[in-house]
Amino acid sequence: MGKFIGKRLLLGILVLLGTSILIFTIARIVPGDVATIALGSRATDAAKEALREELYLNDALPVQYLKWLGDVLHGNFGNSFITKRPVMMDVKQFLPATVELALVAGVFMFIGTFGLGILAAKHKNTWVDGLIRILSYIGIAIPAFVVGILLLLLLGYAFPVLPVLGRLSSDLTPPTAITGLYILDGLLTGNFHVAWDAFLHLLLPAFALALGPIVQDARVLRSSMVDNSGREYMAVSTGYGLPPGLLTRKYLLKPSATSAVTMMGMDFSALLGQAFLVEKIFNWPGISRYGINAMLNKDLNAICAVVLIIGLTYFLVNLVVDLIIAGLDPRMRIGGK
Amino acid sequence: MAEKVLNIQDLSIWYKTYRGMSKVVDHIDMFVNKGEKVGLVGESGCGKTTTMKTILRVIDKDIIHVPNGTVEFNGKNVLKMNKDELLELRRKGASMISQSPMSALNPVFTIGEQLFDIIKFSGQYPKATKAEMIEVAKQAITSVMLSDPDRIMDSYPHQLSGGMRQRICIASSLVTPRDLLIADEPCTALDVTIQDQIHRMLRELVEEKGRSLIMITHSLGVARELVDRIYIMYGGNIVESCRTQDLFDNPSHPYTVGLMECVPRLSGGGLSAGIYGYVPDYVNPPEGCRFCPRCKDAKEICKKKRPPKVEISPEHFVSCFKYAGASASQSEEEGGAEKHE
Repeated sequence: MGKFIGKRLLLGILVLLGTSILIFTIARIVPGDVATIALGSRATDAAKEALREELYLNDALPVQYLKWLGDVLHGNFGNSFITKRPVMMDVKQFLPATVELALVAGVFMFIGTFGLGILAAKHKNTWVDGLIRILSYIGIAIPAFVVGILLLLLLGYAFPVLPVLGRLSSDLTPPTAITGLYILDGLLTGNFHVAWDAFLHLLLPAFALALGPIVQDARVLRSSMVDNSGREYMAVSTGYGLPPGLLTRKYLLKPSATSAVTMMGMDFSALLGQAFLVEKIFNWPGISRYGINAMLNKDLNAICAVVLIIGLTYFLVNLVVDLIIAGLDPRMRIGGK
Repeated sequence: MAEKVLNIQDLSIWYKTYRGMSKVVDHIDMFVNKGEKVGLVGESGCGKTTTMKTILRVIDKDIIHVPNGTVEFNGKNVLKMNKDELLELRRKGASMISQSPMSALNPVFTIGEQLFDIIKFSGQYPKATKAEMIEVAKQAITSVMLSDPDRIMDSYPHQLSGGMRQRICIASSLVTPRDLLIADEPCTALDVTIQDQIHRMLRELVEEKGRSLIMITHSLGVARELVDRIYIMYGGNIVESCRTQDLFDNPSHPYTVGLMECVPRLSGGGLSAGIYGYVPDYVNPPEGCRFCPRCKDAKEICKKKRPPKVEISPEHFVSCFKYAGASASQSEEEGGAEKHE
């Protein structure tokens, strides 16, 4: 298993290096003078020259990249052109909000996928299965931001039972930042009231993000469970008089879970990059919104940082998914003993 | 006379297909006495496994339909059992050794874990601790001539060979013996030397512990060695049933005769011609005798009417018009087997 992880880590580093070359090159060959983009057309030549020096723009491109990479490895992405602060500081501020949102959405995805998938498989070809199938089509067809707007109108406006904007109610102060995740920090510092409030704020955007993946992955889980239920080993296990609950939860679910878990992993990594519209609707101060704003405003340093963070997330989540799948299916443990 | 463990009467089993009902098993009668070894012989696709799986009710009810018949196990109709009675039947009443060892074991659990659950839920070791149950599982593995039970307990099915998996399947049925053991061609992938030992184990199980056995096999030789009575199945019908010795002394149904001729002999003489043709199409089966299209002795009546079940000598039943005239006292209804008890 150690060999497997080692190989994956090495591969991941190569992929991230490739990503960094790509995004850095794109950020440097954009049309227009980078310094002018950053400082505006009315900036003095001296200021522009100072910035060029700071961004190594006077060197050859490969040299620029190497110097930039050196800075990045020290945790320095340079300053944002928009916020005028170090990009790293912005990331530290915005990333936890999205991570918290994605984690809660991930928990929803996990519960929803397995709940609905098992339910549909257990009652295959009955009205329960049919209802879940219809829900799936609806969930797949409606994009997350429409779900977000509908939820906002329904539960925030028509029946205002849940808070809809931001991470916390305005009369509360955020808990002391330990992890940056409000729920966790609230619990750690004993501010249960704040943790609960943060959780309520998360419900709607997390659900809006999770709905599409839930219904899609539940369909995948359902079909592989139905497929496997016709296999000889299920008939054999049934024939030995094992309890029906154990048969479904253990003997059928485990061999059927791999494809759904793979899809959930991809959906989860996608959350970070694709949460933009949902973050916008719920006024969520997250990294996805920050990234899109950076792109719209040619905030080159911030773009590089956000792209690398998303790349890193994909890599880490996929590593975890591969490990889970190796745990689920012994036949996948290639290279291990 | 002997008490019947299993009594199947007038059972038909249809598969639901897109082309319509596939009428595979067609009005069969069969019984097994306590302590008896019964053989079920027939070509692939003639409904042997379907019938056996129906005894344990392990075929999804979405794909089969049972239009008529009863399957009585220890006097209770299996087809009408509720969930708890079914669990009881599967845990204490009957178990089946699958014929496809490559797919009969769950690929994502170790052999040990699968055996452990079978032992735990059979209810046959109510007071055993976990360690004791693991010991029972290891003994079962040793009993099928597999060495190094510890390693096998920790192995996944894909790490074992076909023959090893088949023996694990046998072990998992023998580890918690039931009243009736259904062995669905248990030795297809095994060496003859191991086959012999497995057969000996099965015989011991029946003769010493008073269990009953249904042995499904292609091999008349195996049947001759092992079982007391034989049912010959063709195209979803039982075409002939009798004591084993009677079958070899006096094979009567044209299909049985054909089967006998197909057995290659060690003394040479070349390969036989086989039986011309294939098993029937079950969606539109022949109106009369199902064997009629392949039968050398077929007459006009065989195409139109079902052959009656005739008792040509005590306990020797043949479903064929060839014998219908000879013993007029027997009729097809009210299976003669019943009267003989």
